[in-house]
Amino acid sequence: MALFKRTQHIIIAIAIVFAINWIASIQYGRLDLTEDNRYTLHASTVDFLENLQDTIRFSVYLHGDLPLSFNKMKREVNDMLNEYKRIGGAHVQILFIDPASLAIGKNSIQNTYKRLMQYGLKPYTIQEEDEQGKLVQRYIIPGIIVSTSEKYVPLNLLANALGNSSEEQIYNSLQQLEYLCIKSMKQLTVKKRKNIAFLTDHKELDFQQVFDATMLLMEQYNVDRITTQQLFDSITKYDVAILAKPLTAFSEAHKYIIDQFVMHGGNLIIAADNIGVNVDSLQRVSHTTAYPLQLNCSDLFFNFGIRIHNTILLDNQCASIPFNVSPLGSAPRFEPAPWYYYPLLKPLKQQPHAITHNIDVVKAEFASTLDTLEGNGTITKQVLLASSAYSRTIGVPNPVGFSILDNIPDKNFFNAYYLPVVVLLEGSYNSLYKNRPAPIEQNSIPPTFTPKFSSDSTKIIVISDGDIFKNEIEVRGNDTVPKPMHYYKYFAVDRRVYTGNKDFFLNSVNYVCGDEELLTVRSREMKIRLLNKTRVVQERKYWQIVNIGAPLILLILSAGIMMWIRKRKFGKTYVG
Amino acid sequence: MGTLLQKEIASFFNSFTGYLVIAVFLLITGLFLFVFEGEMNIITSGYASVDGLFILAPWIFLFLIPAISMRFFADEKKSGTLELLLTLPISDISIVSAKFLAGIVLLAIALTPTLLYVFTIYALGSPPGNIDSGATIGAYIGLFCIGGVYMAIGTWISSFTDNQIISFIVSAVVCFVFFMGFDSLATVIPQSFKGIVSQLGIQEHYNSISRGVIDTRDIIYFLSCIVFFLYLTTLNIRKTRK
Repeated sequence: MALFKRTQHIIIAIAIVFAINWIASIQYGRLDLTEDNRYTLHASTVDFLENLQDTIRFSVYLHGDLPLSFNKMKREVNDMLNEYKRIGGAHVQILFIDPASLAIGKNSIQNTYKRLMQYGLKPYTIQEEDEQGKLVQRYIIPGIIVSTSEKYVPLNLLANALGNSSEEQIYNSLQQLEYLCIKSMKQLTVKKRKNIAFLTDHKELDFQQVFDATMLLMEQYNVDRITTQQLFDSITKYDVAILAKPLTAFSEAHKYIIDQFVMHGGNLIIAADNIGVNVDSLQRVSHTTAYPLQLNCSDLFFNFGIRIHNTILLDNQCASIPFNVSPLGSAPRFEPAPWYYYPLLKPLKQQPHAITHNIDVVKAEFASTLDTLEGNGTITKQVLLASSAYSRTIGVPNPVGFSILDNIPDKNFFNAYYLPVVVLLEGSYNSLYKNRPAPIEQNSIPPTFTPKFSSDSTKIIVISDGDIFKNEIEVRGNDTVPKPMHYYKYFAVDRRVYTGNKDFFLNSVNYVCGDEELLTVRSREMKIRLLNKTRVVQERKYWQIVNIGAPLILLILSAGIMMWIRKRKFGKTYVG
Repeated sequence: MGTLLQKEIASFFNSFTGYLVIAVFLLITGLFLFVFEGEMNIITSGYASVDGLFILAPWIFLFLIPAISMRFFADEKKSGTLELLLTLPISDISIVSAKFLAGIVLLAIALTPTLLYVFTIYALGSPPGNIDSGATIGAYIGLFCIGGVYMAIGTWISSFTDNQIISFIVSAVVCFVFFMGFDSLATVIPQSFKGIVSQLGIQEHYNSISRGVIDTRDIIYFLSCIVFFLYLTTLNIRKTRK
């Protein structure tokens, strides 16, 4: 009888425990104690996961026998994906796959790697000592295949991760992890990709020069290189048109097309120099002349609320170039010198914006400055990037060259501050051609076209420098190889990697495309927490002894004290 | 109840075993975190965090906590003092919770020297002091949560037997089952039950708190487990009383 009653009690207790935990699972709270809230997903990620329609599978190949530093990465990836699963429920599947386990029978491990590489995953080479102390190379795959039932995208965890050590690289890529995941999921689930056009008929940057930019955009958008007339032919097709450093004048017809593109809801990114400098000739001679470019766009820009000045921006906060400091006739000796013509732009503190949140400096080359004007319509204007507190402009035409390096400029030389270079314009515009005849020939007007004279809300980003998202091109024999956007050819003296340019460009495009949530996720920052390597190596023995010895000594001491107290209390005869 | 608690703690340190248990705990932890090469090694990992301790703890607690709790009731039963204890005007619940709380205090004493590891990371960080204190505090709370559940299980098991060795071994096994068993079970049962079954295990709940994320569901899970096992213990004690 007693047994029966006890069983009854136990069953009731179990039921209560389950009930309490069930209630707790409905109404719960979460407190992330980490300083950078690293385990809390961004609100837009949560929103995205909650509204997930398709089932997304994450096949993680970072699994199996991994070096120590990558174990941490795997743990963090696992944690984050589990967090996704917690929110997304059955719509999120996680699979950890050891690439070595795929190599069975005839399928050698090399073939497995080859197959994974065909899917777009990049192997990472690690060097290890084997039992004989010989260095051996092997590969791991720090990547994920994100897939739905129809499509897949590769996600390389270490892609573009910069850093001096593999630990730093891992931290940097963990910082990007949420962004990379959300980007891949969006890529898979987006029903209609947005279209982006680079205009090509004003001697804009060629495909090679915007190769990196194009590749970056193609992960999320359709990118075309078209003429202005093609833009006109399908005026509502493109969401964003990019003018990348036009060099020749715009005809009245082309200005009309761009105006109408905006009126029909198109967004613009204009990166236009108003001055020309033949940079190549500076390789050979010590100075060249900066001259004004005749883009014939002033009235169009004026209508948007922008004026680009015919000036060159010089900034004390600038990139470096190698400069020959040896006297004439002796062997050249190069030292880094500040190249004031390549300013490093920053957002203004008083005008923060999601596009420039947490980004590094953005390198410009022979930039002009710009001003905002009234504009035609209801427009809000915001300066995104500006020069430093020590800057100056010079008019053109004017010689530019290495002579500026001969003397160190004094304080008064940089007499201007915070000159705007990049401006974001948002709002609805009135057409420049509202009360004017359309300057366009009848036969080039597409049949479906009807002019509009005011726009809905559109976004325009104007950059008074054409080089911000240009990548350098390396010449190897007969081949030309585009470098990544963050690469600067004088890295050897400059020691900077311009990730800011890339982040700024992607953020800008994401923003004007209406994908703001991507940039807020991208700008998230994680604090790098590493040990001091040199101290660890030098003081290893010391800390080992301290951490094992000290607690034990402490314990023995306290045991001794306890014994002594007890002896005093109870006398010698007590036996424990 | 306070007296009972004091007596329990004092008797732990009166025996040589108490010191030995804590010494072994500190030695093993220190070796894993600072000497042995492996995932837990803080020095070779290069990261300024004490993660290794929190990965290691659930395993090492499997020995530490049953070693503390094994004698709670087993010892009293063997020496016949349980009957004496039960005649005192204290409720069963007070007796059980005094034993349990004494165990938690002992756990805290055993864990105190591990703060030295935190200090080591603090000193070796680049720059010094580069440690996420919030996450570390959260993870320490996690240690007490998992330690609490183990301790409650240990208390319960020790109320079954008058043999400390049996109490120790069975507690360790039951704790292990609660830590890992449900997860392993979840891999062999039908998909639809997987989520629920793995939710029963400790590991599922320990993971997030060991990183410094405190979730009310995990806290409720730990607390309800502790209360449940302590309740089972009082049922056992009541049986002895009758």
